Amino acid sequence: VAYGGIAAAILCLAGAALGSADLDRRLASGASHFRAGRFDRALVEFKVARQLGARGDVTWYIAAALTKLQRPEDALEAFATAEAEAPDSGDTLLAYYRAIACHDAQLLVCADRILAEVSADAGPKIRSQAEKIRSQLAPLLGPEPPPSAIDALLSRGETALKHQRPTLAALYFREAHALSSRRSDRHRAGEADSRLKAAAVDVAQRSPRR
Amino acid sequence: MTVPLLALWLLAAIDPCASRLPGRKKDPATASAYLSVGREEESRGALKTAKLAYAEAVASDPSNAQARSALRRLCAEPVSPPPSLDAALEKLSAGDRDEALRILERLREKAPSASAALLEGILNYELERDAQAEPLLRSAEADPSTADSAKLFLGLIALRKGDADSALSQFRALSNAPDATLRSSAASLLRLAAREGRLVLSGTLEGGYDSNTDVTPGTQLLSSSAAAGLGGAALSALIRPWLQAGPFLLLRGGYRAIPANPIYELGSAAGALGFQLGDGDLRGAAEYQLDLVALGLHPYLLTHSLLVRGQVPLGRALLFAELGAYLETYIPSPPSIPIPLLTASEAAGYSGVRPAGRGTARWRFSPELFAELEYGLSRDLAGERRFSYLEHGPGVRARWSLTSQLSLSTAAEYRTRAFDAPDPDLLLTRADTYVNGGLRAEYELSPSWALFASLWGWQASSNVPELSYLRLVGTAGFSFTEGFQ
Repeated sequence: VAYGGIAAAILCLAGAALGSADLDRRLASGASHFRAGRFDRALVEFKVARQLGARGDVTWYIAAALTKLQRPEDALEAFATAEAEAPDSGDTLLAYYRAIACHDAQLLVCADRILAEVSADAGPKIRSQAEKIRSQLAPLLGPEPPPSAIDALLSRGETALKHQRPTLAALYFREAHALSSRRSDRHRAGEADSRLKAAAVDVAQRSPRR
Repeated sequence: MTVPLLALWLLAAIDPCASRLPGRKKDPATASAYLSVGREEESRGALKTAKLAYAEAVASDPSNAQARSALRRLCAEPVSPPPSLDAALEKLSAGDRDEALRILERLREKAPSASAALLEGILNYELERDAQAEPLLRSAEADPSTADSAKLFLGLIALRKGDADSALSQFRALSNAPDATLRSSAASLLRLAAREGRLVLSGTLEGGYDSNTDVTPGTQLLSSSAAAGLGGAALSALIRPWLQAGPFLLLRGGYRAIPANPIYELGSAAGALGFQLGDGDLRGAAEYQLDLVALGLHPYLLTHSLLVRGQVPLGRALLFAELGAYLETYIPSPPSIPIPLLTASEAAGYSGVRPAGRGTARWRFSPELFAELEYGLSRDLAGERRFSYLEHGPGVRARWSLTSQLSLSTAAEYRTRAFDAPDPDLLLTRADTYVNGGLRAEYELSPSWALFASLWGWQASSNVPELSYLRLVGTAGFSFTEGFQ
């Protein structure tokens, strides 16, 4: 998928939505780096823009840059923040990046769900990519998932909680619950559900709105 | 712009640690924002982006002491490289397994991945730290890209613990794995797992042809008057209450019938009691063994033996050594036999102590193919010196798994035997050489049952022509091995 889509959107945003000249400069610089494939520099510029007061849309771009830098867990947290701050600013390209982050973090149900939505809305190029990945996921998600997969996700969720990352923990617990519901014995489903609720409470308590 | 300035500008654009060009308008607010981003990135372990942010902070406000200090710290002090799978693999290929493990542990904390978990699990398995290895491999099993490899090692851990049922379940799950090497290894391990347990029963049932049942002298391989058909059966039971490591008791017996020449029918019964230390590649064992051999249903040879053996891995090779002392007592044929095989004086003369040893080096070329090179040495201290001898010589063995079910094995051995003293009856000191070798094909019908066929030949040459002979034995049959928990 070309980087130009995001870069163009950011440039448009920089030119139209933000008033501050410095924010404009940071966003334009980040977009330029992103377009050139310098995702580390793009990430720094987007984060500085956020430090300088930008909200909402810029967090989507931070998440996209983190995905390209293969930091899927950081990216998923950023996507969650972006969704909370600017739920209407996401588009199919950003959703595709979010699916890739899920995939890279081994959250396959998450990846498959988002890719299904992307396939329905995207243009031919992204749709083709999304369908290709979904076809690779299909045989893995088809059979009853092994209990060890659920155990591993619950373990990762607990590790994330230990590191004060409840948003990430919630994603792992949700994935564990989704896999568990695909098993006839619903292996550790109750535990996944209760841990998900606990993580959600933790997320809510950390929310800036409180 | 002058050439040095241009070079400086280019370097600064590439390397955040390079000297910064003066001239950017001082902007403390932006510098502060970059500094915050740098700290956030550094806390996440993303040192490259942290350096970029600190460098931009310094460029925006050269007087920002905190930014300068942070940049100097990251650039001047050679911080340990961020943990990565490549770094761990690099250490591993350099033979530094401990450092590789340390990198993988840091990687697990910062950016867990299935590949890193798999590698860390395998390394812990190799160090026999199964408690640490198992959760890592469980984590890798959850990821489709590493699931098959993780299953293999989880099966190996179960096998090492003696949990044959779990091991079987893991290996069976790999029967359709896309990777041919994994599939083949799992098939071999499946057989191994089926044969593990606190009680292992095995047996064979065979029929065949022996070209020279009484080792008649001669040089014609297939025209001996002593050729005959044969049938045989053997059973053994291995009892290991603590599985691999610990005490063991082996009981075995067998009989090979030769209806056309019953005096040479061979029966054997044996028991061994021993103790094994270690259950990996590095292991050792000591045992006492009692063997009874009967010819034509009459006791012929009783052997008490003490054996010690051990093996050590050396790179891709496995070195094996065995030392034994055999107290051999030949038993005279009973008076009821018209033509005795052994008289009382012959039996006394043959009997004695026989120390023996052998050393073997095994090289595994691939999971499907291994070869062994062996050298054996044996000193027979019989009651009469004319029967005492020194025997030694090399041997080779190889086994090749052509498919997951079909395997071929071959072996050959050469021994020279030099006797100590002249034999007054032969008017010379005997000097013999023995060459034997053969082929065996085995087809696994199930993890426990196999169909086999073998062809084995012997050639004995002696300076006493009456003691030279040729012999060929071909057999085919079924074998059975099953472990019980």
